[in-house]
Amino acid sequence: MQPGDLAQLQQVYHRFCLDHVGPLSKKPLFFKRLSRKKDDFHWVAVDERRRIVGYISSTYKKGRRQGIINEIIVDPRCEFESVARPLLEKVYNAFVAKRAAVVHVESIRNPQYDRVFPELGFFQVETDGVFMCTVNDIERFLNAAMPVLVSRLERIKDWDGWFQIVCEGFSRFFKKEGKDVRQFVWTNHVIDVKVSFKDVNILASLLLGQVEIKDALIKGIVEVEGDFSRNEAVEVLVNLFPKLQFLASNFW
Amino acid sequence: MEQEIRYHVREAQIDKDEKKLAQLLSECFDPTTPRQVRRWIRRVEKESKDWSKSFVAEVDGAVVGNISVELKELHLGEGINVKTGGIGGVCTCSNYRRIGIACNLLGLSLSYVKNSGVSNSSLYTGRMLPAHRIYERFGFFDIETWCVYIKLLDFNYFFGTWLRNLNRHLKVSKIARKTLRNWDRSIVFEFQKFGKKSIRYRHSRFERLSKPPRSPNIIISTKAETLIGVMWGGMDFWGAIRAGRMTVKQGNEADLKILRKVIVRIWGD
Repeated sequence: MQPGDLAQLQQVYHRFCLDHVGPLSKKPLFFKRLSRKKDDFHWVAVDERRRIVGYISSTYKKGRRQGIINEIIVDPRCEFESVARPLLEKVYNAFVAKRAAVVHVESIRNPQYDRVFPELGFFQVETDGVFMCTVNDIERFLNAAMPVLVSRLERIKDWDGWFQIVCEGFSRFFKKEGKDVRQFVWTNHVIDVKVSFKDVNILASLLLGQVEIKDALIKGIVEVEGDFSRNEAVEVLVNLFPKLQFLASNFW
Repeated sequence: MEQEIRYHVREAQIDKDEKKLAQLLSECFDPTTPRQVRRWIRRVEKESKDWSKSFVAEVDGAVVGNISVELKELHLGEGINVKTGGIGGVCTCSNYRRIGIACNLLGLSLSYVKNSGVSNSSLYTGRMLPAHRIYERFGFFDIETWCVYIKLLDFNYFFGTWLRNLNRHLKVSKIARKTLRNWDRSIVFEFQKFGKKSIRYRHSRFERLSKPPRSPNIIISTKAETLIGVMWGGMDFWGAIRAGRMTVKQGNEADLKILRKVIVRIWGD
């Protein structure tokens, strides 16, 4: 890694995060420090045009002879395995050279890791560690989450109309016309698709990729009604709540 | 009749509380030095830009409970992050548990998060910990568990490090020492791939034996992967025995109960 890599590292990380949800935010200082590292435990992968397409960050605890792989980030435009494997091998060899007794990597369910670590002889151990969340202020949470839904509504093709979200007594209205999506406080227009969530935790779970919208509809924890046919409404909801992988790379 | 314990809660002070907090965090988590506490508080303050708070519960001048809240972010998709109150360092001294200190501290922290305009709170914990039930009572729900990928290059050293860390933990954990009081036992682990490893607990510490004792109190045959799975809490000790992934060749139930606590390092009942 070199100090000049800072901007590209941030870009790669930002693109990687778009496919995931969770505590992923990293301050620019993190990348500044990362790009200054001059050891065998931090590497970047570059393509034939010398553009950074991924990086690995790791730590070696000398006293415990323990190598820890903090994260492997790969630009989603590239195939994960082909970029991650050489990065991992590079760091793994550095750990072996330092006489590491154990190498481990913590993964909050990154399914991509399954494709690279077992091949190098790593075994997988479940832990009792869990990430938990609660919504303290429903109205504020809805306000914070609405831009996500607006952005996704904008991308839905072949569907225009009025859309309403109802959650524990709070409502949000949207009108979609082509790529233009506007949010309203209240309307007496006929609502085309109205979605009701049993509670705010269901909405949070859907946004954080823990519940699939089709399952939620079957279980009755999300209800949909309106002028559109149920199939069309479900199609809209599938686009609004895609199943995203939860990841954590910011721990506290 | 048992006397009611009087305690009060105040904000932690960086110069005043670091030693007491180090003691408390050492007992409840891993051995922690006052310097580490100072660095941790400073980092949190710097990152959260004066938003963060640490509350401590005090009994007769002794810090017996702690909780900290940091301002963090959750990515909800589309490049949009929402602010979250990141709860951490929740612990209570083993002598003052089950009197509502942790609940009180958690309630205060959640009120602080809400009053300061943050819509949600989140935290990392263990599902086996009693705290998990408390969090559920406060409306927290599980989002995702995690796994660890491990490669053992020198199991002998790894096992030795585990024992060293266990002894370091015993030095600072009152509840651990209390659990193991008068427990003088020798244990033999028969690992399928790495052979026999023998340890003995005596004089408040575990020692490694160069060869297995003639009549060990406990003999367990297992794979290293299984033992590590139990250590990390992803696999239940009794479940591993029932599933045949751990075979108890010798040892009574009372000793196995204590051995389980030693392996998972959760000392309370």
